[in-house]
Amino acid sequence: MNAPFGVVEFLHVAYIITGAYLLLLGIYALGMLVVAMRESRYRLRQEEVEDYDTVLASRYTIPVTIIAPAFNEAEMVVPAVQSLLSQSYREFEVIAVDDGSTDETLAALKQAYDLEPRQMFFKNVLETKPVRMVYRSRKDPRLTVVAKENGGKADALNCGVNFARYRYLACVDGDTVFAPDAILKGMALIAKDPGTIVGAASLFGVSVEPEKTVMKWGAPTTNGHLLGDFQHLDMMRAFVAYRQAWSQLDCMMCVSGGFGLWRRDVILEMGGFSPEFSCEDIEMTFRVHERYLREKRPYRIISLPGMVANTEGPKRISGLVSQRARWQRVVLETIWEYARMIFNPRYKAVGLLGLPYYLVFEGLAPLFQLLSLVALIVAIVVGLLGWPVYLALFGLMMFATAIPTTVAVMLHDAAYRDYRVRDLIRMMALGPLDLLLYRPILMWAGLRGTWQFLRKEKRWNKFERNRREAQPVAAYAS
Amino acid sequence: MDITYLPSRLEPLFLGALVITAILWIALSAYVVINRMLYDRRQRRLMEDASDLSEPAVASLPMIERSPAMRRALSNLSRQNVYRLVSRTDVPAALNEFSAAYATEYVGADQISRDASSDSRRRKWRRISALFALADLKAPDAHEQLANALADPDVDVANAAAVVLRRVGDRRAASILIAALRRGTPAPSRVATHLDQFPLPIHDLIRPLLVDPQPHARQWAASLLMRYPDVSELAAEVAEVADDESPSVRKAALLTLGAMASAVAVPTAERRLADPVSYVRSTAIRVLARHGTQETDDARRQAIASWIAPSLADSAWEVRAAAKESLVELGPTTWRKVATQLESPDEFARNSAAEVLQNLGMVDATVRELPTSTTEVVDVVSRALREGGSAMAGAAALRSAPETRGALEDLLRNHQEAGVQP
Repeated sequence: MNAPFGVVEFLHVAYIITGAYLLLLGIYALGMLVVAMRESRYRLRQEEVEDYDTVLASRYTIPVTIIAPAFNEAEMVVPAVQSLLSQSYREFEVIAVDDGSTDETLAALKQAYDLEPRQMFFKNVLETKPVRMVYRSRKDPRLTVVAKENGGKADALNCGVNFARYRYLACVDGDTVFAPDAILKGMALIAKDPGTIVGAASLFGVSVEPEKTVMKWGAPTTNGHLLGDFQHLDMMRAFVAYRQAWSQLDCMMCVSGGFGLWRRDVILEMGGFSPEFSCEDIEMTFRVHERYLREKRPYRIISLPGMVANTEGPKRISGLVSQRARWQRVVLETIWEYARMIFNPRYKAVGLLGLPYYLVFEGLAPLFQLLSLVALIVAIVVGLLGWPVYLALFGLMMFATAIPTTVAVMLHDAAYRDYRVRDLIRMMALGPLDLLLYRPILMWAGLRGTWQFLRKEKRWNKFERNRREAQPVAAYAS
Repeated sequence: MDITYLPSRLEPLFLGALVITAILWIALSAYVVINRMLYDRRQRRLMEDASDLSEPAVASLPMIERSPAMRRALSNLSRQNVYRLVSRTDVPAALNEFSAAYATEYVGADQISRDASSDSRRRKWRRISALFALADLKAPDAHEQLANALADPDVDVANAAAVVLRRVGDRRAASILIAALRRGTPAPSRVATHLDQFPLPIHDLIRPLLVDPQPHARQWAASLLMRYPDVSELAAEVAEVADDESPSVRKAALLTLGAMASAVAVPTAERRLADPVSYVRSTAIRVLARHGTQETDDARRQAIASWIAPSLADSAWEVRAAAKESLVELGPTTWRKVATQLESPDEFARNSAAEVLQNLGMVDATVRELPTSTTEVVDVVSRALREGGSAMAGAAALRSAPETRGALEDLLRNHQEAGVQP
């Protein structure tokens, strides 16, 4: 069959672009996996010889302020705060910031922690939306709840920074349940070099009902929910296989909002989290890199090994699309803002490796994916590609993309041995299905996010919370 | 070359690549599962055997002879894995010791000693394991090797040496850690963590650092002596460095005196309320508050509150914050001292005094018992509500029971002219 005019030329270009893209992606993924394996082994050995009992009992641990912003998190906020108050760390405070929720978030906190309103004068270092009321817990003096007008997550974090008393900040999500040693593990690593390490990120899992892990942390299991498990694997791949490599290469590009440790003076020096972006976490990480590298100051942003938390992931495809579209938007916004760093040797690995990665494999990925999909469809329609070739190519891609997933599971298991064998099998079995069932959703979300970026949309697009029966408050707040 | 038809021409290649990739994926997945199952089985056995090592029946035997089963289990491991077991802090100590003894048989004491002194970056984990082994085996050169490791520029090696020295726990080990503290490497806070939890009393080794020419050494000495409140004359020596030229030394000395509950703590802290450095002033406030809360004599407590209250108007935020929290800790009987700050020319001091009175429960108690409250109390609370602003009045309204809201409105009406709205 002869292809119509122009189609051959289109396919010609499409093959070259997608081929080059895949080759580059393959080389990059392979390189990152090798570096990640090295880093993973290094962190594992470091953990094995660390004397956590001594660190835990030490008078010289650095106190931490945990800031947990929450907006319409009525189901999750109590288990999340309870998991924070249950941290096995010597000195810390929890500041939960209710960012003008319209649901029962504040009421749930009041009931669980016996909050009483108090006027508190604080140092207004960072400009934020007005504070409505400050509450202190009669049950746990380490907890302060700040109710403020809605201003977005960055604004809520800045508000928490204004109330923070300690030198280190743990910026977390109000819909996330934390392992009891999350702060201890993070701070033990930071304390080895507190002068240089300004930020630390860590792996968190995704669960459709993370509150169920709060009562018995220690043996993570898969969700038993296909979409939840795909998201969990996605996160694991990103953190275990790639971010550890970034950490090793000194170009850690994102201290995630789910769990990020920052030195308070650094956040203040940067002028706080920016509400001008769709997400505050990537932008802050970029801003710190930009400033410190431009001024040639010594610093490090690291990734901690191990899973420290479980966050709520969307149960429905529409929720996932909405969430990932926002992530895509913020990636593009940040790349646009910091484009001057790309391939600029002054910005070292961040400019030469991290940002180009973000541009090609995150920012432009949906466009490449769309191009390859269209080319494939056109080639099939005009008869240039037979089904056997198509199936062979598709099968090849399925297994090729499953390998990073399997390596991520392998690295995690080698380090922590915490999943049951049947969960490991389930996770690895889902690997090849990722391309068929999960990637198309992400591609659609990416395209949508790109469109929203081009239209300069800034909406938060928070996904609708998964409906389930709320656990009784007493189950957590004992 | 026309690549448009390339995919069709490459069909056999794609098929071959598909088969290879699928096999690779299956093999990798199988490796993960099998490796994990083997690990679980080995771990279960090791833990069972490790519990046998502490049985009273075998306690008199040399470590290596206590468990033939453990020997068999370790014989299946590579040298690298045996070494890892020696240094893992997440397994029972008996297992570490047995592995160390086994490693001696396996590779020989000389080799362990050589590994412990290796300065190869590539073999640093082997070096760290060897250091743990030397300590477990009580090798004659253990201290020397650990001292060298503690001075190593590699953070992991130096930190591991600090962990091992605390485990060794004798006076020589303490001296090595103290020398590192003086030197300033590795991170003094990490070294101090181990000295602070050292199994032996070592105040006599720390004491000379109080007069060390290096400020950081004096600071850590002052801090570490906190553990020895009952040693005679120690408080007096620490009190002397409370006037040190270095502010961090003054702060550490104040904290130690405060924790020692020493008689010199209060006058020293009072003197340091006028320190030129803000963090020393805030520490002095907290030390005074700590003593004040333990004070049974109310007059003394009132005196302490009267020293602290003016700090609500301090130029530094951290001092004001410390004063606020400390005055609350001192309790409601000191309210008159706090109330004096409601007349301060400094707006923040007035705000803070109002906040302290609120947190002392004065506002709520007065609202509850307005008819029986004295004019002085009513006046102070009304002023506090004025200085606290509408948010404080709003918070008080939310806290109060419906039947007492009228009393709150009466209090607010006293200062309606000041524009306070609940």
